[in-house]
Amino acid sequence: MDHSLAGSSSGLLDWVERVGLGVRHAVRALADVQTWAPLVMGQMRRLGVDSIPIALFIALFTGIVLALLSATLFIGAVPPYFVGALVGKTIMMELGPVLTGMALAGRVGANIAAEIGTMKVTEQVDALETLAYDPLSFLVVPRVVAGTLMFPVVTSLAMGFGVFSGWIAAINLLDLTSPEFFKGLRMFYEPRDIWFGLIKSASFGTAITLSGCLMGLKATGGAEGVGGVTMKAVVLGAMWILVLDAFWALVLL
Amino acid sequence: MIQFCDVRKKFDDQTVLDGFTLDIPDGKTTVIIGASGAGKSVALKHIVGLLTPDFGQVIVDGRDVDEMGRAELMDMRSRIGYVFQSAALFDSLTVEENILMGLNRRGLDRATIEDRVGWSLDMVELGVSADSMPSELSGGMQKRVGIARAIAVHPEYILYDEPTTGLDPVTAGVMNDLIAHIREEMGTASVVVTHDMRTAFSVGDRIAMLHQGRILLVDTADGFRQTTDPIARAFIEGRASGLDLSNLMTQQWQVPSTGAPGGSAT
Repeated sequence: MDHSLAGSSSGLLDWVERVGLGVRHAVRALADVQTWAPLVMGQMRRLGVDSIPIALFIALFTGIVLALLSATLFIGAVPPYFVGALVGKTIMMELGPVLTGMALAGRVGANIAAEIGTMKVTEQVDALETLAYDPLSFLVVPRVVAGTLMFPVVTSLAMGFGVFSGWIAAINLLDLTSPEFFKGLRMFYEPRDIWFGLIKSASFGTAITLSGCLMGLKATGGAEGVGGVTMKAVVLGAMWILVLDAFWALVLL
Repeated sequence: MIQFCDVRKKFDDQTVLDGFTLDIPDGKTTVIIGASGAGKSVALKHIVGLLTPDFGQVIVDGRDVDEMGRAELMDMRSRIGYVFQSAALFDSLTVEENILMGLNRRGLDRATIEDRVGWSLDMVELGVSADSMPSELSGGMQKRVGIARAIAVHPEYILYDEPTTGLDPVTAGVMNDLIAHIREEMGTASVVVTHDMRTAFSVGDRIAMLHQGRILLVDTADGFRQTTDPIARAFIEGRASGLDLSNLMTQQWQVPSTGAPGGSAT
């Protein structure tokens, strides 16, 4: 009994020590602004701007499917303008951020983990250290900052495009007019719909980029090791999206 | 001066360094030889704090590396050039940008930085490749860029990790001449880790043999040539008999790269 208590407290102390060390590393890396700040713009382009096509592609089909699905559910039961309400609410609050996040967990998370993992196993991370760079400042912080800033931008474009494609689908494929669609869209719209989605997407950006970076830095061996951490980064990023999605729903709704 | 004092290091259950003690004097080239997997690169990584000893001390210019704070560690690293076995060039940067990585943090003015880049590339005879990407270069050229990156900062010590491994004999000879030339030109203390006896004899002022985790023998290059130690002789002559390789042939440990949160360097 005493032994198990001692073991538990020792494990807890180890955990606290590791968390404390991690926080200290993170604070030190964040304070090294002159290293990471010049790299943020490049990462914003790579992780954010270059991800816009895939986000729009997903939003296009999400909007179409939602319009058709809601018509199947609503028409005959409720006024047809509810199609606009469902498309708008669902895309802005849930599907826009979550589906974009999932796509970027694959694209961005895998990209980061594979890149940093390869740097790790080819001693480029060690080379950074010997050149007196902190790898956290040079590799991790610019990516996490860029992801946190750019995910809401990409998601907002996806939201807008998803609603647009839903509207086009509604007026062309369903027996719905534009005024009806926009009546439903406006009727249930609240500003919270947008900022709720954007806050979520910012947190997804942080989680996905951080998962990719930390997994990449854990790579060992060669190609197999890099492949392993890349897969883990994508899975971890996707899991974080679901956990954070539930968290924000509990906290903000 | 760099000193290893009774350094011990284990990875999992495998003891790699076991009472490793060696002094690296200023202004000379010290070569550490030993079989593959003997722990030579592990020893080298201790000097710059990429690895920390489980026991013992690594002292650089009178300071225990393990006791240095982050700022002091960074300052110490900025005085040491490290040439990696794989060159470890940043593959998303050009040759020139790779060399600039070390120089950009020195607070040097633009003209001095440009001079240093030009000088270091001239030293390794790669001036025309400044705009090339590392993937466009041969293995030997990549290693020379690695050397240029290391010497551009005018270090007080240069550490070479297996500088001729994987190179053909002619290119290896060019590398050996380059290491000797840098030593003459800069007067910098160097540590060369290698299992290539040709390299050891052509660049080393002193040769130390690492065997079973500790230094078996230290001598001048001439003294080492004439050693009667059976293990050293077996290594020099490339004979398996006389060397206990069982420990090396089964080694499963891998030198952990640091640089991650919780890396041993910090």
